[in-house]
Amino acid sequence: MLADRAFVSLGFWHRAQYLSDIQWMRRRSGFAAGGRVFATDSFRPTRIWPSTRLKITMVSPGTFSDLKDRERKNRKNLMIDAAERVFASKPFDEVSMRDIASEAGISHATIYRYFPDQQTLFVDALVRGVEQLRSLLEEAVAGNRDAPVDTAADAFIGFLSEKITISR
Amino acid sequence: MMTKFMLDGALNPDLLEKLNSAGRVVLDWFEDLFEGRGASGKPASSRTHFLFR
Repeated sequence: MLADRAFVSLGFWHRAQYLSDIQWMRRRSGFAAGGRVFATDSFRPTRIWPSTRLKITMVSPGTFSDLKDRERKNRKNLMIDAAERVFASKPFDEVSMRDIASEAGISHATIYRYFPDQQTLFVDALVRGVEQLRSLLEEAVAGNRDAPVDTAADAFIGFLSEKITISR
Repeated sequence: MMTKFMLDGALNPDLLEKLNSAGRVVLDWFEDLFEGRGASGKPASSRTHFLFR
């Protein structure tokens, strides 16, 4: 579903705030309603002044499962970023999962929840690199259809130079 | 990183297949590109593999 947008005008917001304040004052002063007395200070409406027009953007919320998947993917990406930096700094055989966890700023145990071993992490880093390469190539060629082979070759060499850790 | 496994690395079969699949995607992409420019069959394939030598 596409994002829907709704705008709440200041006038509407002020009316809502005014009614909220009236309710609070009535409670504070022991306003009697329907034979019952509301006298409590426990509730005080929070006044938030909008600096300008209050904009509410309603985005398709998805599901909690989607959110968890996105979070997990983001965390994995951060760990792969850290792994690439560590692999760039020392030979593969000298790299340990503890080094990568330390670089990522997470505990040694946490990284094993995402990658069972170093090989899996290594392969995921390579696969991510290949996906990035493919996206880069497609974008480059889409931007220059006159000489797609030259453009792709330039983009390919540029990628290898930038991601020398993966490619060498 | 690539060189390490090309020379003396050993990957378990599942990971190897995962890596090969990713590699094939890029090779196919280049092959399609070359074929789109007039090369077909073996020339396109050879040119593609030349990039990854």
